[in-house]
Amino acid sequence: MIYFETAALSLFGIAFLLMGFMLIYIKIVKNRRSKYQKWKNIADLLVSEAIFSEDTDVDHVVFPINHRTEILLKNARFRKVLTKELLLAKKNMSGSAGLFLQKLYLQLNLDHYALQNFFSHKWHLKAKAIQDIGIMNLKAHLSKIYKQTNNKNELVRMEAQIAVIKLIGFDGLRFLDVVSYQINDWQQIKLLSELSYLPANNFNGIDNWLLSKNDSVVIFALKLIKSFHRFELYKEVEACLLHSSVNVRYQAILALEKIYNETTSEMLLKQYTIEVVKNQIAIVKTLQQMGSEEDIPLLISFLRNETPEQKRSIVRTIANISEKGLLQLRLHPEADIAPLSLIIKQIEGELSV
Amino acid sequence: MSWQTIIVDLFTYGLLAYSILLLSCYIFIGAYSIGEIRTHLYKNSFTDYRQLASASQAPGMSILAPAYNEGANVIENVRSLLSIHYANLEVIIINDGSKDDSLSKLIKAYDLYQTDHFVNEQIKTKQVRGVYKSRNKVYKKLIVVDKENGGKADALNVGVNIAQKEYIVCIDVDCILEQDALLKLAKPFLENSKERVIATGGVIRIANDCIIEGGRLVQVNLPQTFLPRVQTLEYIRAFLLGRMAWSRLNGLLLISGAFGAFDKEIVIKSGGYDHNTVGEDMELVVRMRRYMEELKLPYRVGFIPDPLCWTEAPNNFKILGRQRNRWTRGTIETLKMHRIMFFNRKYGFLGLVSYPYWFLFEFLAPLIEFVGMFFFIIFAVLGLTNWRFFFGLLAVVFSFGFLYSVFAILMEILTYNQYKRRKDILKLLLTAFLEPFIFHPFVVWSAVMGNIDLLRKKNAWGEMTRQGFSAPKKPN
Repeated sequence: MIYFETAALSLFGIAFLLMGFMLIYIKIVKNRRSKYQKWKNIADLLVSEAIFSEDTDVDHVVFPINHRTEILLKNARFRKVLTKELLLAKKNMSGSAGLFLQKLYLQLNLDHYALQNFFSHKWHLKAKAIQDIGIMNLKAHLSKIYKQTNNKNELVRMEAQIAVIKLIGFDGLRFLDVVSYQINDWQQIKLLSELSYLPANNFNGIDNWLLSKNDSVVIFALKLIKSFHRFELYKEVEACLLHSSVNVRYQAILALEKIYNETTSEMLLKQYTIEVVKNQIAIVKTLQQMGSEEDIPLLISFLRNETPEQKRSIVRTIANISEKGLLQLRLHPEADIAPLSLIIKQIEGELSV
Repeated sequence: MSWQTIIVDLFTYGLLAYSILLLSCYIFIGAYSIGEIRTHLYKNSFTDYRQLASASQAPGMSILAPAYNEGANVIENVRSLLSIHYANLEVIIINDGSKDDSLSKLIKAYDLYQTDHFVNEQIKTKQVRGVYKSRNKVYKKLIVVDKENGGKADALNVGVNIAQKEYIVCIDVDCILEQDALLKLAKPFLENSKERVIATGGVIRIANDCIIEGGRLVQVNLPQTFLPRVQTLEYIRAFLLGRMAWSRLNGLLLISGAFGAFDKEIVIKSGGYDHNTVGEDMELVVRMRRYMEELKLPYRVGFIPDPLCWTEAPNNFKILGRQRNRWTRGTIETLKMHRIMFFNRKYGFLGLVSYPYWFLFEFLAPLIEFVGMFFFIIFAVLGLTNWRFFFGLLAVVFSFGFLYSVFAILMEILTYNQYKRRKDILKLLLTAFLEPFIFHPFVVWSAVMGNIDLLRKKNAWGEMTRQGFSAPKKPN
C-alpha cells in the first residue's frame, strides 16, 4: 500500500510543479506583453523612417540607428519583433518604399539571422527563414531556396515554392519541372494567389508540365492555363481529356471552359459518354458557357439514363443555352413524370426570378 | 484463504488493473497530443486564411442548421451564419416542424418566397413542405427548408439532400462561430493528397458569460458559475488533449454535432444520419469510417485544435443530466450498431484500437466505477474492505485526475490562452480540484441512468433548455 501513497504524493507533487510553472509563465507573458509594446513602437519608428525616407539613392542610404536600438538588436526576441514589423510592411509595399525596407533589413543584418535559421534542422525555423527571404526579395539566396522546392518536409517545400515566385516571378515555376512530391490543393491556391499579383506574361513551360508524371503538376498546369487564358495550348488541354486520372480530366474540362472554340462543345459532348459522373456534371455545366442550340438534342438524349442530379444540371444548361430548349424539353416523353417534371419546374422558377 | 477473500482480491486487483490501463491510456493521450498541437500551431503561423476566403478554387460549403422551436433567437442566429467569411457558401436552415413562429419570422425578416425546388431524395426523410429563398440578393446564400418534424438526424438528412456544395457543415443553429471558422475547417480537405479527408471537426468552447453582440463573440470570459466552468475544463481536456491525440492516430470516432464538416459524397454513400439513435453525430463518423475501411479506401478524419465554435453549456444539474444521459445512450447505440468491428482486424486501427478504446474506457468506465463503488460499500459492511488499499487507490486516481486537468490547463495557456487573467486560471485550478467530488459523481450517475434508460427502451432526446447569450455580466 505504500506504493499507492508514494504514487499519489508524486502525482500531486508533479501537479503542483506544473501549477507553479503555469503561474510563473503567466507572469513572464504579462511582462513580455508590456515589453513587446515598447519594442513594437521602436520597430514601427524604424519601419516608418525607411518607408518615408527622402533619400533618392537606395543603394547608398544608411539609416541612423541609435545606441539603445543597437543594444536591443543583440536580443533575439527584439529582432523577432522587428523582423515581424518589417515583413508586415514589406508585404504591403512596393516600389522605392519596399526597396528602403529591404535596405534597412540588410543594414540591421537580419538576413544573417534568417540564414542561420535557414540551415537549422528544425523545419519550422527553416520554413520561416525561407518565407522571410522571399518577402524581403533577397535574390542573392535564390539558388539556396530553389534547392528546397523539392524538400521532403511539406512546409519547407511549400514556402520555398512560394519564395522562388516572389523572387523571380513566373520563372520560379520551373520547380514544376522537377518536383516529385504532390502539390496539394491548398498549395495550388497559394501559388495561384501569389501569381495573381504579378503582371501576366507569356511564361513558358506549361506544355512540358502537362506531360509530367506527377498528376498534381498536370492539374496545376491546367489551372494556370485556365487562370491566364492560354488559348495557344488548346490542343494540349484537349489531349488531357485522355489522361488516366479522373482529376486531371476534370481540370481539363474546367480549363476548356476558359479557352474554348467553336468545336469544343461537340468534343465535350463526345467525351460525356465515356466520363465518370463528376466529370459529366462538369461538362454539362461548362456547356452553359459555350453550348449552342445544336447541342440541345444531344443533351436531351442524355436525360434518359442519368441520376436526378445530372438531370438537373442538364436541364439548367439547356435552359441557359436557349429558351427554345425549355420548349423542346417539355416535349420530352418524361417531361410530365417526376423527377424531370419537378426539375423543369424548378429551373423555370429560377429563370423567372 | 476463504472464498470471500478470493472474491474480494479478484475484484480489487481487477479494478486496479483496469485503473492502471485507463491511466496509461490518458498518459499516452496527453503526451501524444502535444506533438500534434505543436505541429498545427507552427503550420498555422504560415497560413494566411484570407487567400482561401477570396480564392475561386475554395471548396463549396453548405452549412446545415436544423432549427426546432428556435423562434426567440432564429433571426439573429441566421444573421450570424450569413456573416461568416467564406465566398463559396450556402446556408441551409431546416425548420424541423417547429410549433412556434420560427418560419413566419424567417419569411418576414429575410423576405422569403416559396420556390419549386426539386428535392433529390438521396437519403430517405420525412416530407419536405417547402423550400424558401430570399428575394433580396443580399441573402442569396440563404435557403430555408420547412419539413415535417422528424428529429435532428432527419432534418440534417434533408439538408444533405438539398445541399449543392461539395462539403456540408453541420451546426447547432444557436452556436456562435468564429469569423474564420469555415476557412479553418475547409483547409484540411485541401491539404491531403494521399488520403481522402472525409470529415473535420474543430474545438467547441463554452460561451456562458462570454459577451456576444450581433451574433458575434466579442469577449471571452470564464463562466462565473461552477457547472459551466467545470464543463469548460472538461471541454479543454477532451478537445485539446483527447481529440488531438486521436486525430494524430487517425482514430477519431466523434466529430461534435455542434460543429463539423463532412464530405457530402461519402455521407450520402454511407446512408446519411441515422435517426434511430440519439448519438447521430458519432454514429455518422463511425459509419463513414466503416464504409471507407470496407472499400479499403485511404481516408482521414481531421481535427483542428483552434477554438472555432462557442456554445452554451447546461447550467443546472437537471439539464446536464439529460445531456449526459443522451450522450451515453448515443455511445452505446453506436457501439452496438457497429459491434462487428470490435477487435476485428478487417477494420485495421479502427477495429483494433479506436472501437475497443471507446468500448472499454468510454462506455464501460462509468459502469465499472459505479459497480466498484457499490461493491466497496458492500465489502465495507461485511468487514471485508482493506481500507488502506481502498483509500490508497482512491488517492492515486484522484491525484492523477487532478494532474491531468492541470496539464490540460497548462496546454491551454501555452497554446490558445483564452482565459488570460491569473484569477481565471486559479479558478480553473480550484474547479479541477473540486471536480471529482461534485461534477464527476453526477456524470457517472447520469451515465448509469443512460444505460438503464436504454435497457428500458427510453429513446427521448431530452429537452435542452438554454438561457441564451443575452445580458452577460461584465467580469470584475
